[in-house]
Amino acid sequence: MKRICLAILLILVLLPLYSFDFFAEQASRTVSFELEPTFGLYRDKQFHQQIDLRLLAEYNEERYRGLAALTYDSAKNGLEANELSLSLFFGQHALKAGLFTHPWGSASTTHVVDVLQGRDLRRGLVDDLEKMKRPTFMTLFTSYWETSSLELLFKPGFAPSFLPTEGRYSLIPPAFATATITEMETHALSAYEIGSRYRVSLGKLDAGLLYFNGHYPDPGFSITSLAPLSIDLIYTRYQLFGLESSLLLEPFTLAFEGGFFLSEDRSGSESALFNNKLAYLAELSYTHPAYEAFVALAYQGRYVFDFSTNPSDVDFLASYDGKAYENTLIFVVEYPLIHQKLTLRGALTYQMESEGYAFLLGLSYALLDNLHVFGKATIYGALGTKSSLYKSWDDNDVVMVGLQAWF
Amino acid sequence: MKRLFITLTLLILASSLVSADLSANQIMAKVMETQSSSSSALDLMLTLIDPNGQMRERRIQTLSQTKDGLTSSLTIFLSPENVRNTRFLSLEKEDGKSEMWIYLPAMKRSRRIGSSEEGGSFMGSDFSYADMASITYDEKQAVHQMLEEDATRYVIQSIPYEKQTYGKTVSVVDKVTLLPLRVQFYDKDGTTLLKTLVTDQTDVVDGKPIAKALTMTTESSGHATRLVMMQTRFDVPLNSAYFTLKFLETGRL
Repeated sequence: MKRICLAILLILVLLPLYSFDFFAEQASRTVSFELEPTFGLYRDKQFHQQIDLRLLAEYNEERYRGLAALTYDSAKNGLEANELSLSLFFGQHALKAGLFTHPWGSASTTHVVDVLQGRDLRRGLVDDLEKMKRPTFMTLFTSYWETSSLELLFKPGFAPSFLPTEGRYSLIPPAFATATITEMETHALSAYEIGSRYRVSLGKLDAGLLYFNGHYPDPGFSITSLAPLSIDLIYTRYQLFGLESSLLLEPFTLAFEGGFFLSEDRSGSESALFNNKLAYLAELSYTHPAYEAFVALAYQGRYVFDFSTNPSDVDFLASYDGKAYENTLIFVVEYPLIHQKLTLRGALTYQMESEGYAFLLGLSYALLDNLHVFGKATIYGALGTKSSLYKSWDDNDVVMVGLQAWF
Repeated sequence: MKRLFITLTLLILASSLVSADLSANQIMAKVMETQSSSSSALDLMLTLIDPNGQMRERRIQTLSQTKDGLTSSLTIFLSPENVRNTRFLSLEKEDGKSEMWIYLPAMKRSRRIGSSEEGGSFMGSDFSYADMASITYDEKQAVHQMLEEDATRYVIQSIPYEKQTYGKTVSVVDKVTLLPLRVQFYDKDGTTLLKTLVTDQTDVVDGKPIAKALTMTTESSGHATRLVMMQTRFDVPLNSAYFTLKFLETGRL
C-alpha cells in the first residue's frame, strides 16, 4: 500500500493532464486511474473479493512517449508494473524500450505465434488475452513504409510464465510442492532473445513473416535428487519460423497463424526439453454490419515431433491425453446492445483430446461513461474423466460481480 | 468511416448562393460541391441522450485530406477513458472503395475493418458511420425530386441507386447557405421513418456557414445524439503522415 501511495504521489506531482489533441499542439501528460472491485463465489463455496487499482501515467512529447501502468492488487497486497516504457519516434522509425507486452498474431480470439511474453495464469482463464500475459523487458525497433513495416526486437533475458505453485490455480503436481526448486537464470544476457516481424498489406490481405529465437516460457524439469526431492527448472531455447495473416472477405475475416518451433533438442531425446513442434490456427470471424455483433470460430492445433510417452518427458506432461497432437476449438461472441451501454461477451473453448472445456460469460453495463458494472461466470470441466487443466480446475467455477470506474 | 471527413465537411460547409431555377439534381450537386474542402480538422463532441434524458459524452477529433480526388481520414477518440487513443484510419482507393483500419489500445493491435460496417452505429450513437460520412447524396448517387419550394428552402426527396443503408431521404435545404436543416432517413422500404436529423445551430467560419450543432433522433427508440463542432479548421495544411499505418499504431508523425 505504501508503494502504491508513493507511486501515485509521484505521478500526481507531474504536470497537467493531456492526451493527443490536434488543436492543442503541445506536450502533455495524462494520469488516469481505474478502480475494479470484484466479488466472487466459487463452486466450492469459497468467497473471493479483490480490489484492483490501476494507474496509467503517460507523458507525450512530439518525439517521445513515456508510459507507466501499475496495478495494486489488494488480494496480494502488492504493486505490479504492467508497463514501464519509453518510446522514441524519428522519421519512419519508432524505438520502444522497457517493460511491456507486444502482441504478435493476426487472429482475434487466441494466438499460436504470440510468443514474446510468458503467460499469467494466476487468475485462471479470463476474457482478456492481454491480461493473461506477463510483461517482459525488451527493446523494439520498428520501421514503417507505406504498406509494410519491419520490427526488430531484443530481450536481455526473459520472464517465464507465471504458473501458480499454490492456490486454486496451481499447475504444479502436489508431489513437487515440497521440492527444492532451482531455476536457471532467466534475466541474464546469456538468456537473450531476438526476433523480427515483417508485415505487409496487399489489398484485402495483411500478412506477416516472423522469426524468433528465444525460450519456451513454460519450464521443463530434471530431478537432481529424490530424497529430498530436488528439481532443476529448465527453459528450452528454440527458434520460431512463423507467419500470420488475415484476409478480409466482407463481412467475414479469415485469419491464419502458423509456425515451426525448432527446439535446441532437435532429436527430441532430452526429456527435460521441449521437442520441435508445429502450431497452427485458423479463425473465421464475422461482424454484423448494423448491429456490431462479433462472432468468431477458431481452430487451434499443435503437433509435437519425436513425441515420447515417457511419463517424465516434458512434452508428454504438457500434452493432452498423452497425444503428440492437440486440437482445440474456440468460439467467441461479443454483442453490444442499447447504444453500447450493455455488452454481452461469451467464449467457449473445447479441447478435443482431453474433452476439457472452459466457458466464459460476461455482461457489462455502463451506468455512466466512466462507471461500468459487470457480472461474469467461468466454468471449467471435462466431458469425460481424462485429466487436463480444465478438469483439474473443475472446482474453480466462479460467478463474479464488480464494477470498473475510471477517473 | 472513410468519408467521415468529407461529409462532416459536406455537412457543415456551404457558401454559394443558388439560383432560383435549379433542379433538384443540381441543388444536391451544388450542396456537395460547395461543402467540400481540401482538408479539415474537426473537434467534435457527441452527446448520447437516452429517452429518459440520461446523457453520455464522447469526444473525437477527425482529420481529413483530399488529394487527387482521393480522401484520407483519421479519427482519434479522446474520451471516455476506456476508449481513449482508439484510432480509425480510412484511405480511399482509386476504385472508389476505402481501406479501413482500427487501432485498439487495450489490445495493442490494429485490425482491418470492412466497409460494410459503415452501416453500424458510430460509437454507440444514432449516427452510423455512413451518416458521419454523408447525410446527403449527390446527383450520381441518387434520384432527386423536388417536393416543395418556398422563399427560403427546398424540400428534396432522394432515392439512392444503391440502397445500402436507407431507401429514401427527405432533405430540407436552406436556399441561402445550402445547409441541410432537416433530413429524414427512411428504411429500405421507403416508407418507414428511421431517423431524423435536425440542424440546431449554425455558425460562420472564415465566411462560410457551418452547421455547428446537429441532433439525430432514432424514431423507434426516441434515443438521440447531439453532435457539436467544438473547433473547426478547413483547408489547413495537414501532414500526410497522419494518414499512415505508422500514425495509426503509434499516434506519432
